Amino acid sequence: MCKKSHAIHPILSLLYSLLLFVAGLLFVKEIWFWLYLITFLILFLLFRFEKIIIKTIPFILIFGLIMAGLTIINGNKSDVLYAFYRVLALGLAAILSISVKPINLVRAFNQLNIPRWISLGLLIVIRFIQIFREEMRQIRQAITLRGIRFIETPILWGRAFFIPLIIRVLSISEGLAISLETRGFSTEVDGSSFEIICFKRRDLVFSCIFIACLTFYIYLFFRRF
Amino acid sequence: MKKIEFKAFTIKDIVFLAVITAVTLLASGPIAPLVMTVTKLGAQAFAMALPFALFTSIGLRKVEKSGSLTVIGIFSGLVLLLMAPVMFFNQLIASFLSEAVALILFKSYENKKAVLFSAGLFSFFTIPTTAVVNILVKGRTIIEQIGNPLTFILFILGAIALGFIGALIGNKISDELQKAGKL
Repeated sequence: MCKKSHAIHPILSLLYSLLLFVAGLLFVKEIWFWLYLITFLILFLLFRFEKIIIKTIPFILIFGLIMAGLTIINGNKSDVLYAFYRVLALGLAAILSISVKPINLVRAFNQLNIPRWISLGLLIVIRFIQIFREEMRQIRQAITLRGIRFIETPILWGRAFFIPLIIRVLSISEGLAISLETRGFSTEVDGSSFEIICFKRRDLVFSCIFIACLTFYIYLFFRRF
Repeated sequence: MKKIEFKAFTIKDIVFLAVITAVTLLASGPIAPLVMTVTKLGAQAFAMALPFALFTSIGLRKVEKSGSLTVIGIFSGLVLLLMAPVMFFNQLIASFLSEAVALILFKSYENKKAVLFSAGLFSFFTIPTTAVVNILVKGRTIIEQIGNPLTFILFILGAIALGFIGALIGNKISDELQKAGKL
């Protein structure tokens, strides 16, 4: 059954994100770069990406200012501005790719007959980044409680950090592998999806507007040659 | 003459490689955003060399099958695809090249030197891919990307050195875990 959602098809999102990123970097030095940004921001707002935009803005601004700040060291005014613009281009492309739910991406991969181990691995990586962030925090906390400081004894700190971390990696991965095997997961058998990711009318409308806007800016870019 | 053997990956191998990729990305997370848009060629490879080499070498010691590093490259590339799409190609090509060099030289990961080479040179091999991407996407010539030749040489040597140091530390940790019967 097709899942009803406002999200754009995961594969399309990734593809358009890649296009936006490449185009954004190409257009960084154009005077109409701001117009390019605003056009796609409006398009995203029309297709209800407002929550992701709001979440991304602070990160992009802080990151952009850091990058611009770092460029001041050995760059001129325009280099600083272009560094900031590059981060904006990256942020614009990221809005689409961040909107992709990992599980939907995996389902779309399955439908495209992409090997099971790739989609499974991707899902594990995304899921375990959050889990290990917490694990690392706990290990660091334990190190602090034992009075080990990186500045005073870096080798001891390294041992106290890496050995427990790798032990956790081993135990978690073994537990997960057993759990997956008992649920019938295998690298040799094709997977099936409970939900089907369909290409909807919404995707078609988005694609048409997106391609039209991008074609217009590509035309503007190449007109000067 | 010994040939390079390709064995099928089990679910256990895939899970371990995926989990080690998650830890690698997490460990390089604080540095990555700072160097992601730096325009000097080699700066990213230099910054990422240590964490990537350290964790991937542990991954390769546990899953001693040809293709393990490429699998790590695919997983990390797919996650980075969601943040910076170009990074996917960067990771994939670098992992493949570095693994190919190590396996051509040493045939199998049972030889610790193969792990050292493969993990140690991973970051270094991202440099050519970054250069090609910068030429194609940003239209920047190789001279522009290199800037000061001395800085560029230092970045390359630093990426190789940090890569090997990271792989050495990873191998040492793996030795200890192997002695303890955990790996």
